[in-house]
Amino acid sequence: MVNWEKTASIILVGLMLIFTLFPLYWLIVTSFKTRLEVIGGVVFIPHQLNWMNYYRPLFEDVYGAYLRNSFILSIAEIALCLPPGILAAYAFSRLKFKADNHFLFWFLTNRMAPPAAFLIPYWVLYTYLNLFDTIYGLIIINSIGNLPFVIWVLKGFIDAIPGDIEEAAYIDGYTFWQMLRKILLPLLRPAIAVCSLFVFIFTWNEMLFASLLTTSPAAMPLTGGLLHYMSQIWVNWSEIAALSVVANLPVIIVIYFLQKHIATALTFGAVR
Amino acid sequence: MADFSEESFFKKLLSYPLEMSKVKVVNLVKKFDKTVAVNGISFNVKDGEFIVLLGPSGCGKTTTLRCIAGLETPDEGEIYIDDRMVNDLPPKDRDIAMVFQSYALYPHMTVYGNLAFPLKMRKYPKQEIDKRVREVAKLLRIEELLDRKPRQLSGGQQQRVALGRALVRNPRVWLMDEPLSNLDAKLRVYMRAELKKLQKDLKITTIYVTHDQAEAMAMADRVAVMNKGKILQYDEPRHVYERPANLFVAGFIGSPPMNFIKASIIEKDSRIILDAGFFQYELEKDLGEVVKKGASGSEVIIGFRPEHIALSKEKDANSVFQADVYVIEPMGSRIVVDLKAGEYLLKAVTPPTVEIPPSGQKVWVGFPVEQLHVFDAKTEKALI
Repeated sequence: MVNWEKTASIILVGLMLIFTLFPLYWLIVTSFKTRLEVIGGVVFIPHQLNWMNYYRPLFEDVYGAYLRNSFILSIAEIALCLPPGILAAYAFSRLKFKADNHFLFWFLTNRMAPPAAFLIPYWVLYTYLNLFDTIYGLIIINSIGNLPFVIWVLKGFIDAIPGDIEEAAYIDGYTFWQMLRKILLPLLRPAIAVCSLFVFIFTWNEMLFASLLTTSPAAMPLTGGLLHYMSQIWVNWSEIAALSVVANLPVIIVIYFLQKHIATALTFGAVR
Repeated sequence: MADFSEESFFKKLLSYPLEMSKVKVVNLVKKFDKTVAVNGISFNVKDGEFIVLLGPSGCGKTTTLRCIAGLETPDEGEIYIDDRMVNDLPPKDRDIAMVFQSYALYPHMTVYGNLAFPLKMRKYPKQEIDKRVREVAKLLRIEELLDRKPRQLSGGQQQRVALGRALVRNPRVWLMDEPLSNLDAKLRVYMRAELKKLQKDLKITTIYVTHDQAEAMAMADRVAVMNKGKILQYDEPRHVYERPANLFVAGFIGSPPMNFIKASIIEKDSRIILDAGFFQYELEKDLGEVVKKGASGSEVIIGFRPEHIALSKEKDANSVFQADVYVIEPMGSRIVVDLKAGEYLLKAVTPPTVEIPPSGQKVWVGFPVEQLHVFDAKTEKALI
């Protein structure tokens, strides 16, 4: 007897997997192809691993610098957004101050606004302020989107931690900063991990400002570089594919190592 | 199971001395925006005394406790611990310990970590920390739980850990915010006795907040009955029960609560009579004088407790008025009888040996004059 339900679900899942994984497979396969294999018809498995596609753009061209810039930018974002984000989230969650809700909403709208709307003003502003084509210029502009995200996510987590626990620590003899270090941060660890991951991914993937506010290998991240690759006279698909694989790897690796925390964070509320 | 028979059993388990302290609260006022949570209360707690702040939710009892703990800043008034004003001291410098309603255990630490936490802050040597944690764990019988996380514990066990954390560093004052209210009824009654024994044995000055009058009566040396941010009476439980200072205290203490009937004072041939409409009650001369002198007008409220009512089929010397039996609630050890008299539904509690006529039938209601309470209808103060 055929179990239709099971068969149907296998087919459905199979189709979905093909839909999501095939492009990735095609990207990886293409990254190892020779030029001839790319333009000479459909080749599913290249006859040899052509590592030059990786080597040349990264080590003989400027893409190594772009990759470095992407790392600097993403890690700087985490380092820059999380400490103030934690404190701000704490303030929004626990303290009462004038117009606190308005501030929170204002922070959020920074995140909601379409970035393209600010592109021209930023372009002009950055030119005046000598921030054009600098990594710290990009760091600043990314923070405007990332900080609200961090605050919003962490506020939810801090809301879920009973205030009694903090007060118990004060009574047990701890100051605010000691309490933060010994109680709040350990309890927020999954949340901080998840926030860092998302900030990393957001920054790593950001393309609009990266491609338009930077021009030189001194500042441009990989996303901007990839875009510029297209504008050259001829398109080396294998090298683009190789660079795309390189661009994807850190995100996949980070997610792999943080997946335990992501699960914890998504099933939050189990703090008690 | 520990042997509790010896007087200072608990104390022998601890190698360190426990301190006692006096607490004095003077004219404490605390407002939140425009609501006044605590409205000028004063009280003192003696060395080693167990006092209970009792009242309905929103009466300001928890706010008072939090002010003493330093978790809230008073708007007015002073708080003294051992004659030292602590208004401006942060909680960590007040040398107090607090047990929260939610226990507030640190979820990411083991029981051992939770117990050691207050000591680590005070930079005790590792050995001393270990010794104390184990002593307290032994005292509270949670030794085998030291390696567990709070979420792996039952409510009663979490409660013990919270008590242990409050005990381990030998605080001057114990503050407890409804520590038993999250336990099931059976465990609550059990822990009630245990907590009292512990406090009496260790002689730690304790301020305990609850809305449960039975808990207050059972545990306290003195009870402060609070309502609407004020202390209405501060006295031993026995006195609060026997001689409530006003209508609120009378209604709040005792279960089922005291019966109240409106009446007016009538003077007839120099006799003083309380007229409730469906019955009249003549007061003895001196009592009548007291009532008449104290009353702000002629309207009063008569109060008598359900457990002081005597029911009888036939009229006897104590009988005051006749009522209809409305509902009979047998409780096993006692019977609660709901009575209908005039416009009132009254409650009476009798031993199960007393024969009660079935519902709908008439019964005589009586109460001894010593158990009669009379309150001024306007000021709600007790007249006798």
